Amino acid sequence: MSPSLIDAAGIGKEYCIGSRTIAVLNNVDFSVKKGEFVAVMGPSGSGKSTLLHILGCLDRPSAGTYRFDDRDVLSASDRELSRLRAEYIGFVFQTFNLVSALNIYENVELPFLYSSRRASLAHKRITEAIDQVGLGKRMNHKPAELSGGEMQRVAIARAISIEPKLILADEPTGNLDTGTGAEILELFRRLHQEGVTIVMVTHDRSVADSAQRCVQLVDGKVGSG
Amino acid sequence: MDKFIKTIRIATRSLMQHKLRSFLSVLGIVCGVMAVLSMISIGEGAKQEVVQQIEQLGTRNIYLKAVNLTSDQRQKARERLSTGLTHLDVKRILTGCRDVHLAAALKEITATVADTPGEISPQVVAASASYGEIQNLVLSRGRFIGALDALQKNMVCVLGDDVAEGMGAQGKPGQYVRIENHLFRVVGVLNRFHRKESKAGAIAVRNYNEMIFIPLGTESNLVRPASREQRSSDQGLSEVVIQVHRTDQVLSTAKIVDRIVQVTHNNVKDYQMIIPRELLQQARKTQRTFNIVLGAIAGVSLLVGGIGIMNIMLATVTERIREIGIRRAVGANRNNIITQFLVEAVILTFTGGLIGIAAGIGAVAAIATLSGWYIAITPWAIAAPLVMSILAGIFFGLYPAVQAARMDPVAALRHE
Ligand SMILES: Nc1ncnc2c1ncn2[C@@H]1O[C@H](COP(=O)(O)OP(=O)(O)OP(=O)(O)O)[C@@H](O)[C@H]1O
Ligand SMILES: [Mg+2]
Repeated sequence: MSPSLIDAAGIGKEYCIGSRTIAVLNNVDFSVKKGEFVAVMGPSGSGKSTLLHILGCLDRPSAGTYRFDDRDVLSASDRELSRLRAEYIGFVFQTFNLVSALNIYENVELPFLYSSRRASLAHKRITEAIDQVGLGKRMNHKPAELSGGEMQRVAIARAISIEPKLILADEPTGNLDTGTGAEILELFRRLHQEGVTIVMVTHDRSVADSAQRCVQLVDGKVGSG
Repeated sequence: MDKFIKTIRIATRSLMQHKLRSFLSVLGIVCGVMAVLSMISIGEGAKQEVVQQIEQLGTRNIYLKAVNLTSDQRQKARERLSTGLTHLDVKRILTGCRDVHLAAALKEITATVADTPGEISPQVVAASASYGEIQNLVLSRGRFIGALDALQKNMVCVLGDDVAEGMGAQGKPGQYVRIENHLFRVVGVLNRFHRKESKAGAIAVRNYNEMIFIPLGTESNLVRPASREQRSSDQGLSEVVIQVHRTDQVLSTAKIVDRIVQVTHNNVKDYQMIIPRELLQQARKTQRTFNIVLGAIAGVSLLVGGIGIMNIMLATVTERIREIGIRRAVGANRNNIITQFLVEAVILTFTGGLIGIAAGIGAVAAIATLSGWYIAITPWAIAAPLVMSILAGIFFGLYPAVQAARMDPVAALRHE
């Protein structure tokens, strides 16, 4: 049995809007073993993105316990959480989220500005990652000069360049046509085969099928998948 | 270090996205730095000019100058038996003050000099031998008036550079110059004297280039039959210069000199005492105050420029909320975000500072040539506004940067 990378139990998240509090997540238990590929499905507004942000140490839950790679995340400071994200976690978003002022190389370089890796190693990893997504010849291009699929590939390169323990993808094919979406999914499948742990939010049943396991989220609760 | 350079590079990239906007936002800083630099330089130039003028008078010297009296005052002076500055004063000062090194007397003479070209009208002065030594007068040829010349009432003279040049072949040692109806043998010619032009009358340095020195005493031969009025004013000396051994003896000696002269003149204030060292200290002090006031006024414009930077940085932060979210997601902590925006603000203000320095030097050079003022650009005038521009960047960039860092990463990522 492989040890678990993500171990979250009883996760709750509430937002206060004026005097009303709405519970977005309610007593969610979620664990992922190292090397697993897990899909998260559920209707819009069910709290999938919120869960992903919490798992990615970008947001803090209002209740529950969370251990990432055997570290207690809830008691960590902003500094420590940022460090975890910079060294171990790669995000891929539906809307790509690239910095438009920077070219491909600089976008992929961003996480290295905030991690303690050596510069020479960083350069090697950045070029490797960009090659891996097939954009090696376009390092100096700005995001505005790329198609949606290419932008998403840059985002994936940014996520994998740090050799993360975990990749969190929030509907990575949501803004892409079927063909390009399939290419991106193929990339994820390959990463998984190389041993990367992946948690992916998706609406698409066929996408979820390529994952090892599927978790259903309904109204902030884990349903049966 | 390497990361810091990358941060600077990326910050520059972001600023270059909006070239015109960045440039316009920096203009305020440019003007501020320009103002500070020119104010300091103009102030410093004025100070150096005054200081050099006063220093030419000699910081070891004390001057007693005859005051032009009104007829009322002259009447009173006569009643109290004061005859203005005289040799007696010089003698008493020499015997009465311990620290006096030299004392010299000078008398301005109204006399016409023959054979001079039209442009210059040389001023004839009768001087004692030590005058040359006190004023460090250097001769290009011949010698200065000696002690014997005064004793023997030798009809000799020493020419200033302009006078000698104007007279041509006649303005050389061995030749003769006609003053009134007497011939004076030229014994020396002065080196060219580089006088600091002065605007303040009281501390005016004499223009030795246009002067003819004759031994004190010989001037009595020249006196024309004139009105009593003129004769009486011709009686006294125009100026007595006293030199002490060391500059720190000036003030104490000046007090004693004043007392001695007061007694010999029976309390008639028909002389004026000028102490260059004292003037120098006063001038330094007033100029310093003046510079601080000028600098502060200019600093206000730098402040206004800083507010412009703050404005643009606030706009930048709201515009780039999404980017802040992205950076946080890939691992930036709050301090990283603060650093990023501070670096951008400082790059803006520092660039503005550099442009301002260049423009300021240009402006100062233009002012100097147009107005003829003496302007001194000291290292201070460059360093101070440059440091101020960096500080302005940090100070005015801090609030927007903290705003950016405080943002919730998830909310920033969701921002449209
Ligand atoms: N800052 C916030 N304040 C208040 N409510 C919020 C906030 N952020 C999210 N929510 C609410 O939380 C709920 C879950 O949002 P979330 O983005 O996690 O849903 P989702 O499952 O990802 O939906 P989708 O599939 O449309 O992306 C939504 O109803 C949303 O309105
Ligand atoms: Mg979502």
